Amino acid sequence: MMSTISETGTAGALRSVPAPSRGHLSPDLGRWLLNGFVGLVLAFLLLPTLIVVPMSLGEASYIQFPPKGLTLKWYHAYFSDPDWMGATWFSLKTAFATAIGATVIGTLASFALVRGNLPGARALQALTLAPLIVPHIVLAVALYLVFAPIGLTGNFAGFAIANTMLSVPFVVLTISAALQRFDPALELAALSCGASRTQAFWHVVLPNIAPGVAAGAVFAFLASFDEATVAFFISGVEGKTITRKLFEDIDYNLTPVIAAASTVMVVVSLALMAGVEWLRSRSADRPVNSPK
Amino acid sequence: MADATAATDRSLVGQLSRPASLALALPLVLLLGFAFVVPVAKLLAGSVFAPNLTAEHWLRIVQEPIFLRILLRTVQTAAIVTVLAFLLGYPVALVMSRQQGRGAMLIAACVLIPLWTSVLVRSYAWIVLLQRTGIINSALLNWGLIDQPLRLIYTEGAVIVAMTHVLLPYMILPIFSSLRSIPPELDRAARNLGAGPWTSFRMVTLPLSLPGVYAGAIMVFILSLGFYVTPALVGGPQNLTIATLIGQQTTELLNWPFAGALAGLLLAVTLGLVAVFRRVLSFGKAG
Amino acid sequence: MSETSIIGRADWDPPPSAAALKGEAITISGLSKRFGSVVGVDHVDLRVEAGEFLSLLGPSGSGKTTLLMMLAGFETPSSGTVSLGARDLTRVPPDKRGIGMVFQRYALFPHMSVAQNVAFPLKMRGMSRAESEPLVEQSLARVRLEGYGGRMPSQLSGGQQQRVAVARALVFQPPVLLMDEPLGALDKKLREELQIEIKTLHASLGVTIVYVTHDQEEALTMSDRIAVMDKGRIQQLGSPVALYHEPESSFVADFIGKMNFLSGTVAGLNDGRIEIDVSGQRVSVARSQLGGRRELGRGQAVRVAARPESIALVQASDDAIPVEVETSIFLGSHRTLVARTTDGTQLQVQLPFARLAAADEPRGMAFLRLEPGALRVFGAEG
Repeated sequence: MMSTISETGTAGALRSVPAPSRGHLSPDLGRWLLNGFVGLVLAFLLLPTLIVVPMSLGEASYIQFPPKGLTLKWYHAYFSDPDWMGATWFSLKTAFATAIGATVIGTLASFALVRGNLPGARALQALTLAPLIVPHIVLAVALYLVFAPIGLTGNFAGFAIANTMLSVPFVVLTISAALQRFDPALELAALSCGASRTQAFWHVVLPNIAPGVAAGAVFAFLASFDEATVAFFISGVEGKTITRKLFEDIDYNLTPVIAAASTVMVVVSLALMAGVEWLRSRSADRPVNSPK
Repeated sequence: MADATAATDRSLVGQLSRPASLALALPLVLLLGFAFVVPVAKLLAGSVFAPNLTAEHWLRIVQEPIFLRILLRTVQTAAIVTVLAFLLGYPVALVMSRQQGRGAMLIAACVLIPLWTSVLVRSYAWIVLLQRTGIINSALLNWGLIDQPLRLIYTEGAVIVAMTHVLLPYMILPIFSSLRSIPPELDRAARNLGAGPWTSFRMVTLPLSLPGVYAGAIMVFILSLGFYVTPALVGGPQNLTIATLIGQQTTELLNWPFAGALAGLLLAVTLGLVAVFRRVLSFGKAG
Repeated sequence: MSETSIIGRADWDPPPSAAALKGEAITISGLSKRFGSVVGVDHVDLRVEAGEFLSLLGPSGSGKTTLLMMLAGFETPSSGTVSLGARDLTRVPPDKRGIGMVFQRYALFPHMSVAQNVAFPLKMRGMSRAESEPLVEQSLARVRLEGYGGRMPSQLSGGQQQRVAVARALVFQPPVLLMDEPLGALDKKLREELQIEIKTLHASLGVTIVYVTHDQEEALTMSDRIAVMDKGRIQQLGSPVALYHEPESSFVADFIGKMNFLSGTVAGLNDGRIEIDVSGQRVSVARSQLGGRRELGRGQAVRVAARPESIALVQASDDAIPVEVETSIFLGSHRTLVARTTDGTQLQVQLPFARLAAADEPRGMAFLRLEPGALRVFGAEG
């Protein structure tokens, strides 16, 4: 709809931008509501995660809220129970082996994938990521089907193989990213300074991707340590992970010892996570790798 | 001569020769072959050769209404969880993307700490919260709001709430990284050109963040379709999903061919979704 | 006449000619912005006249961008006011200010076509597609991009994207256009082309333009007046000619154009003139050539600023500055001689090309004379 042109005084500028008259909330109230909502969501994320900590310190032998009394007896029970300790050590041992295995295999493969001349590189890349996408329940029953007849269930070797397969994608992802960020000009500079290819790798490439390698190793450790579904299926009476033990006890024997064991798991995860964030911030402090 | 030049060029950009590449990739190929390809292939083969070629186990999925119901409920639960995760996660990602320094660190910690905590621990926490004598029932009884404990655990609602909690970070992180990649001048330009905060969000920020929304939604949907731990613990035997059904068929009924067919179906749906939405997906646990 | 045509839902009509678009004056008084303990902008007073092209020029961190952001409404002032014409804008949100803005990196919406980008401000003002279409075409034509409406921003070159940004900022006929280093991302040749284009647009539209840049050449080329900023304050406000020839501080002298600084000593004061000894030459300057208006005493150390074009190469003399020639640079229209005085100060001297055949290019020792009338004198400390 058009009408006549209107000439007004300087105050006309006021009207050159008609105010939206749709009656929205004032921006301040809107922001306040948004922040309040986000606060609630963050509480929803964080509180159930950390609730195991107070639960593990309560006096009563059943779950009670709010917990009454303060005691470490459930930790004592956890640390003195050979079954719990066995499962914990078994998990730590397999996680450690997985971290080493996945880091070595993943680092080598990352070089082949990023720097290599590989037939079917795209297919291998897709296959490498598959364990991230394929539901763990599918992998769990499939692994059980193959591992059980050849004696790879309920023991260290079977877990090391299965968990290495499950966590190698994390390693390949972080190291490939680090390799891609790495400026090949730095390697050229090293070569032009008289370094051999091998020397350039050890003195220039590796120190620059080291944070990525270390982060990949930590991811692999945690992926193995926290894994529950596959562990549930390929555990045995002897070789049993802390996650399988938790699973069993939650189903049959719900005592605060579970909360204590859970707290131990949370502490292990968070300590490693803090380590990775530290590595990440350190590698982010080096802008020299990513010229703009 | 041309070959020699090509070879120098390759060494210049730090490329590896084909035999070296193959040697480096070999351990990974062996590992994935032994612990991924062969087991999955054997499981799937078992569903159609039992021992002769048959479609019996696959047909059973659609022929028996109970299984069809479980399938539909799994899809429905996954869809609800995805929508809830979007509704809860988008505002968090938005506020997080506009924060600097300490505020951003604080929100990131709230999102990453659950992500890095074992799913089992978080599912256990929901049992503690929801069971008959759990925290929520105790609190409601204490405050006199109810006389009898509510039945919270082993319900579909419990599965949805717990799965939303467990999978929310997978929604928040891709949306966050998508929002962070939008230059802040665009919002300023929209505001300058006459758009209010809400209009600027609706017309500029939201459409530009959609790739992150799609990535997060696909990720959450796929993960909830195949989720085992949380439905097994919080949903109980009455609320089977396809994943817990697979578990039940193998551990209790030892019906491997049927479990293979169910696993094949789950796998096909998952890979199909990934193939369709491949472009928007970026993998990685954090960030 | 301070009348202005307006765009409003009810009483708007496309102007018959672009001339209907009139600029308005901006008045900034006592404007400050503090970020914690850091002062971004420090008590700035400035009036930008209606239709004026004013540049805010300064190094990064000088406060020029913060000042612009406060004009646009993206930063809230810690104190002071901003008004447009008679209207106080200080607390008005950005979307209700009706000021156009062109951003450094174009800020085109990547998910909208060129036409949708340009139509965006009209849509925000409630205009229908049918109403906005001719305006969008007209605005694109103004920046010589007719027919580009259907393209996506990513399909355009940097220069074209910036022209779309200008079309988008002008389509709703704002009385004021803010430009935040709009040409910073372009290469030199394109930059110069667009400078002329923006200047022409300004002349034909009469819109008030506030232009932020760190490029002094750009500011000199385009502006009616330049406000040189440093440390959150306006160090000097004036026409390009005034800033070039009469800088008030050595900061401004140094920032605008090429400038040589020599140390000198006040040898005598008489009759409103000052005698200064500079590295072997005695110059006599008028008091009006003194920057910063400070009092001088005999024997006091001063800094003498001389443009390369106001230093001449002369024959050996007692009343000239002996220098060692280091190199000479061919620059097309002239030649620059780089020389060093006995106290180690490096000087750049612009030699008219005609005077210098390649054969008698100076080498070794040479003598320079400053042209006294073109000098500026500053206190030794600033």
